[in-house]
Amino acid sequence: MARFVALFLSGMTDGVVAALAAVGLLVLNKATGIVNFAHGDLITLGAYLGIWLINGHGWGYVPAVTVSLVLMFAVGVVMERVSLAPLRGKSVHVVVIATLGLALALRSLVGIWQGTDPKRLESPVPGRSTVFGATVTHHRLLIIAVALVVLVAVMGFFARTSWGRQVRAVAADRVMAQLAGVRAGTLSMAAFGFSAALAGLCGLLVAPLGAIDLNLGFGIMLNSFAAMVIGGSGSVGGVVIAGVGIGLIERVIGGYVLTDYSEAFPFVVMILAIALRPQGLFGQREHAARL
Amino acid sequence: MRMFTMAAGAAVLSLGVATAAGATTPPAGTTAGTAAAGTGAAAAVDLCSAAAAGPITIVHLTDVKGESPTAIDDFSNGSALAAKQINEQCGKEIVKVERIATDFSAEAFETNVLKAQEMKPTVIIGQGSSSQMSKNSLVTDGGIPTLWPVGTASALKGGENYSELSWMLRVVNDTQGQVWGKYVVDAGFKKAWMECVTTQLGVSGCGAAEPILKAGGVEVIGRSDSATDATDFTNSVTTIKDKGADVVVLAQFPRPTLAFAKAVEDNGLAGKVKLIGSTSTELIYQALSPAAQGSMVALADCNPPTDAPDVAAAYQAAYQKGMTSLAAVTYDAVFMTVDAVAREGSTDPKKVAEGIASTHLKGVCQTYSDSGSHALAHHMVVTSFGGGKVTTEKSYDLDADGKALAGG
Repeated sequence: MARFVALFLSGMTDGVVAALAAVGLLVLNKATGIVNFAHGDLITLGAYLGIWLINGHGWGYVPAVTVSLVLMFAVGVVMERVSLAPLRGKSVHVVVIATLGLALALRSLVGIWQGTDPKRLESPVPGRSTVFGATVTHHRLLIIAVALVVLVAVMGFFARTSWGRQVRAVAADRVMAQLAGVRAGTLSMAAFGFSAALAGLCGLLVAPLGAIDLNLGFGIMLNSFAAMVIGGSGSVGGVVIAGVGIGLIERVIGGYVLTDYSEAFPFVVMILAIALRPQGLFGQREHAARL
Repeated sequence: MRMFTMAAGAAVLSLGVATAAGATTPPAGTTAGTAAAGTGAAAAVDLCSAAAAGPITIVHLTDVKGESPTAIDDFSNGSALAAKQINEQCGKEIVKVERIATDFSAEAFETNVLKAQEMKPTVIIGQGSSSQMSKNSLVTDGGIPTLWPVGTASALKGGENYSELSWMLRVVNDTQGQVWGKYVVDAGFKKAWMECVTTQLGVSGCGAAEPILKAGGVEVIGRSDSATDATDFTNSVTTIKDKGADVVVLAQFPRPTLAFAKAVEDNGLAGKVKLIGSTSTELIYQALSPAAQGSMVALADCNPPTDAPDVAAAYQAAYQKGMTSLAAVTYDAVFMTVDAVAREGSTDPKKVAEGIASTHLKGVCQTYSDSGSHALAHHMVVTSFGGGKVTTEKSYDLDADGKALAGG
């Protein structure tokens, strides 16, 4: 039982983080049509901003996280304006290569800024408890709680706000949405900022789990891609369920079966999903119509 | 013959050390010496005499990114400090180190090693990545002796990536595994978990450790082979907890090492389970909490602050950081090059290669020599990190080919 609980909570942690990152990717994709390969490095940047403010300047966690998220939003907007807005209308391949270039540039800049030595960030909630015989750190529980709250809030935001409706409208039909008065350029900037802020939150949440280095966000980004494909790129709820699902599959099933290959499980599921249900488990066969 | 030392408190060079073949005992206060190999009689080499053979240029392929980015500065600083000290001591520029920035990909290496060879240097120092060995045939084709701050069995004589013009400055993977096993047995541990990585280091290192553990009466309670980017070790740690392991052979690096140590700490096992990390752990241990540092020891080629305190102090003064074994091997590589030129009286690549093959350089890290296998390293240490400093716990000598523990 203890083993199962430990693996379950580990899977939940990975899953909600992947879901959070995937929702950021999804929002950006729906608002702009872009798949952002710099998302992993934005996750890394978020962690480093936290280290910079907390370890470097002695800030408390709450103000540091708040300022980091604001900075991440700004970084997203700048990225969009400087690197991607000029490419609007270009081939999707050009844009994808541009995001790859951004990823490398971001990684290099963080390395120059913070150095390449791994860093450590203490958890704001140190300590651990025993749950059904399993040792669980309070930080893992914090990650699960924060991520679930944010994910529910994001789903509500898209369902109930004007901005959310505009993104959904652009996702359904960009041209029609523009004709209806949606300002796609502003929406694009905001989506980049929002997506970057979610990525930054992922980095801030996972940083105290281990060590922080320049590769921190890459693995999370891969899992979030898998979550987006499995969930169906038209559904926030589906992506969240898929994110949590792949975390649990990877850790819980991988804890008992083919343990050494468990990190491949999300991608096996992704390939199966592509083969059997290309629109994703929760997506619609036609062009995505909802978020 | 000129013999001199630097002022007390600074790095001290012994540029003319009388010795017989084999390990040298340098004069008191010296940390780097040279010796003519195989003479059996007292011989001395004045490194400054290398100037007569012509300018010595070393091209150092410096890593700029990759899975071990922390070594960037260390490799680079080591060769820079050595050149600076030699030139200062000789009062003129004896050796010049040029840099080519590269990364860990074999494709980048191919481009850059060709570029380095076009510069016609005396010696090339390669980057610290064993993956480059797949392109070692370029070294043979280019004709420039190349010193590698890595240890890769496949590049030793008889290996598929062997080149007659390249040498390994560090201990090869299999031998690291043997030292892992030997240390666990020597330290009296009873139950071992093996946390391995699916690369040559992990597979061969763990493979070499396991039979030594079993022969030494250590129960191997399990093994995990994970990817180089693994970050969650819940499964391993719960097994360790369930089965009561008291030691982990941690053949991972770099972020998985830290994540694993954190997982052990988070599960209340710090202080109860000893982690034995791979070489280069000295680069990253400061990212561990004090409790996790106290739970970890690791392999290293040497421990410069203990083995060569004067050079380590000079390094600390120059770069405001401790000297690692990785800095030490590139430091030694520069001395080895100048020593080879001085002994051979030539910068001709063939003569320099002969000089390297016959080296008995007492460097910062160890006394380097080549029995013919092209492995120059014959010594490893196990270091601990308690109290935030690197301390040598135990030393192991390797056989003449650097491919096995001496007598083991």
